[in-house]
Amino acid sequence: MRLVARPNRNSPLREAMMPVAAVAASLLICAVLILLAGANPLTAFGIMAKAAFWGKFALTETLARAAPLILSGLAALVALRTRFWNIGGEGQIIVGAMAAAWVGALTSLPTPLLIPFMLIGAALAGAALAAVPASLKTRLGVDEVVSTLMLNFIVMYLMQALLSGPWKDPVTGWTNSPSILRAAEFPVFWKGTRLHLGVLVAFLAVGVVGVIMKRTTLGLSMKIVGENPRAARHAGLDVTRVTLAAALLSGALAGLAGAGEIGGIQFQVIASISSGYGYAGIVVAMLARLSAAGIIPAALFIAAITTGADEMSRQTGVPFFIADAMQGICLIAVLVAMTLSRYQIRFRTSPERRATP
Amino acid sequence: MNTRPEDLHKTGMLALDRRAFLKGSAGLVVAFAIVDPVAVMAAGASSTDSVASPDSGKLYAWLAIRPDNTATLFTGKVETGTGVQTALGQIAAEELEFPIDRLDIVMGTTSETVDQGPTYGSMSVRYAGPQIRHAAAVARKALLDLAADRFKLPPQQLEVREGAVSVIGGAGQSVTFGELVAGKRLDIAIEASGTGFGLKVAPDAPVKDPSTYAVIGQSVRRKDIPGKVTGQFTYIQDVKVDGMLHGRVVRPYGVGATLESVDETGLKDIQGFVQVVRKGNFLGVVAETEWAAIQAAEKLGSGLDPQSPQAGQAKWSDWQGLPEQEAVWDTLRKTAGTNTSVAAKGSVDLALPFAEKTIQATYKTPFQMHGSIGPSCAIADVRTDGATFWSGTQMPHQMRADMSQMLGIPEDRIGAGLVGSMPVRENMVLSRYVEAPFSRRGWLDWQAILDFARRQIAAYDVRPTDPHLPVGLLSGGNQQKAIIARELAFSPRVLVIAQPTRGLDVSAIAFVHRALMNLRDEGCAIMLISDDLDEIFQLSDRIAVMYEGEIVRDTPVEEATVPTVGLAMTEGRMAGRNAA
Repeated sequence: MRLVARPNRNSPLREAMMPVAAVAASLLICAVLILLAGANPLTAFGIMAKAAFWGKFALTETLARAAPLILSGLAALVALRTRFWNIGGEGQIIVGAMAAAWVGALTSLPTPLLIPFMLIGAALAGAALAAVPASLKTRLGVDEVVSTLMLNFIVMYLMQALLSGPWKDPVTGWTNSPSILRAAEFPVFWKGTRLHLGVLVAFLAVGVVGVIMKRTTLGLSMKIVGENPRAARHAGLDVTRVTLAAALLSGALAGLAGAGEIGGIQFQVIASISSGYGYAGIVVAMLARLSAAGIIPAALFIAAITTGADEMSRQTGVPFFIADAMQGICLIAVLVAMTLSRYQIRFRTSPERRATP
Repeated sequence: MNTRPEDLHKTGMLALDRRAFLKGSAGLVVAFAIVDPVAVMAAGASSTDSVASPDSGKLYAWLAIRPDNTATLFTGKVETGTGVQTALGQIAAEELEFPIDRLDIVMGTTSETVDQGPTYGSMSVRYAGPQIRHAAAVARKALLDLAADRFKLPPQQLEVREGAVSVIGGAGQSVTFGELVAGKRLDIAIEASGTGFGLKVAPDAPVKDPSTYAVIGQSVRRKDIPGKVTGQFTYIQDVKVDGMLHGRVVRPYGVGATLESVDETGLKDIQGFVQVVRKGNFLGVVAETEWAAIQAAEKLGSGLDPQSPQAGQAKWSDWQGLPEQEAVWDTLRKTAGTNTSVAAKGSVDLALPFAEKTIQATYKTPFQMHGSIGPSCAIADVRTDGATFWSGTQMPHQMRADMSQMLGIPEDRIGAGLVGSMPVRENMVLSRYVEAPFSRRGWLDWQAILDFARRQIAAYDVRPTDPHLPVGLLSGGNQQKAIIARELAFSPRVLVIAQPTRGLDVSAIAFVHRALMNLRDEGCAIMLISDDLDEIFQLSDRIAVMYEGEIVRDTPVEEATVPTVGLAMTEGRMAGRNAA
């Protein structure tokens, strides 16, 4: 048995089937884990699906949880397309959340401006944070994988320092920031659910990013820089500027995810404000095969795993962390699927093979 | 007598196609498939031959045995008249215990033979001999085992002789190799490591004791002579491929004469005349019949030489660059290449003063060229999906690698010129999409881009013509055309262009040359960098020669000739030598 490179490009159908195959493979592997934890995988998956999609509450909760994943996935998509390896989504979400919480608590602002300023502030904060590793990369050649990843920890501990010091909730004394103003809470579209403005922003962002990538010179420039920076430079593109633009856009999208969590879900900064959305965004982007349209189903899938895993864990006793394992396995599976799809597996060499030119 | 076991030895399709007219010859065939750039990129490998040489670790790469009990030896060595064909055949026959007159030998055909290194340096018997010897010994052992199975006897009670295995003491109980193999391929794995001269084949093979040799050491009839005497041997000059025309070269008036003009008047009236082929200073004619080619060539002046450079319809410059007979020695000394020290022991400068007697003398040897006596000839049949070459080369496997490289994709095309994974459409506007009409205020106009790409694809004959195809899937020549189509489309004021026609076919080269000349006429300043002197002379107004970063010669083209430009390059090199 050996791997042979496929002579031609993959058909669109095979391209589309790749994430499906990856998801199927990761479900299969997780079935083994669930089995090891002493539960019936089919029952477990059934509970998960029901908890994620069955009924108004389940469905809207999954959608609400998908919102930060969509934005974080878009952030990863923009960066990865340009080959700017932004692993700093987590930190960018946190600064976005902190900015939104700060703006949302400002009594000096006219109330109608609160929500727009929260969104703008969060986007600016995320972009500003992403600008640091981006300029380090373009000016000094510092590897952005390391710098974006490390910034996550700096931002996270900075936030925790703030929460246990100056930002400590004066009312409860807990390590949460003060709550935002009532007027700063995002409107909810469906009473009794958490379908807030941030969810709408996330879905709108998919369209915006899709248009940027497909219809604008900026999008084409980012793709060219990502595919072949030498050719981009040769064609007269300002690779530094394009990289910076991609990093800023990526950071802004991640920052918006933080704003949604503050304005729509938590209303204050808590230590676990992001809880891994930044990293999950990379999984979402890869599952979506770096296409904006694919981001929504990919984010819904990851969101469903997390919402479903809660309920499954309660009913079957399988640890909740199966959701994290599933995310990780999913990323690996999609990477393997992408590599394998460029090859075909041959089990034996037929003599005729040599005869085809 | 020289038919080959097609059925036993499945090889590349191209080679099979060509075999029809190679029957009865020992012509060399070098064949390979044109490399698929995407497969190469995906696999990260250097080439993916589909008419690859057989695996040296299989017995069928070395030997085939037919049901009529004749056999073929396959070797990567070639017969250059030294008799290695016979010698290697003797070695195989000896170890195989097979009658040498029933053994034929396929040499050098790359799709059928293992690369055993080039044929030179008196190293064929020394290095290829043991490789063949060990392969044949494994084959003998395998045949013995097959016979033991058949007779249900231990191998010790069997004897291998003259292409048959017989039972010792068993009257008439015998089976031939052909019967044992029964028309199958010798699909037996053997140990093989290394390549070329360093290839080790079946090191533990049970080879014969040299004292028992019956064929080696005997004078046997040369295998190659009868075909050459009777005319059955197909020399390269006699190879024909489909659609081949007759051609004649019109030689220049002198080595350095440049072709000034060609007057084609009257050539069309010659029945069967096809066209004049001109590439720089090379001039030739092609025609459907040999007689038409001869007539056309004579009209252009091939038979008039050395009457005058202007005597024929092709006009040459008057070149008087050959040195006078008395000056030959001095000229050779001046153009001497590299000196290689063969051995150095002690110091001449230290020892000479103490010599009892010193003699001073100069020895001169006549100019000798290491070259072929007959006119060099090779045939290339290049198709879209592969290529076959016939050549009198001493290193066919090396030649295949070189040809593959030559016809393949130079890496730098995909490097900076194109984005391989993106469609031709995007690549056509790679440097221009930020401007109108391809975009306005940051918004792309895909229709305008598509129209432009279609137009350029048609104008520059880029194939395939689908603008949505990733450019990396195009052949190297078409990628080059795509780059040129893009770069020349916007009437640049200044153009620096290096190796613009490398890897292109004749019609594409002509197209690019025309496009460059038009651009010049429009007032574009063009700096052309090329390693094709003909191209430089044909296109340039000024020619500059650089050596180690400095321009050592810069003249208008009228004052430049191939020898003077060549000399400037040589002087540059010699100056560098002296400085060092």
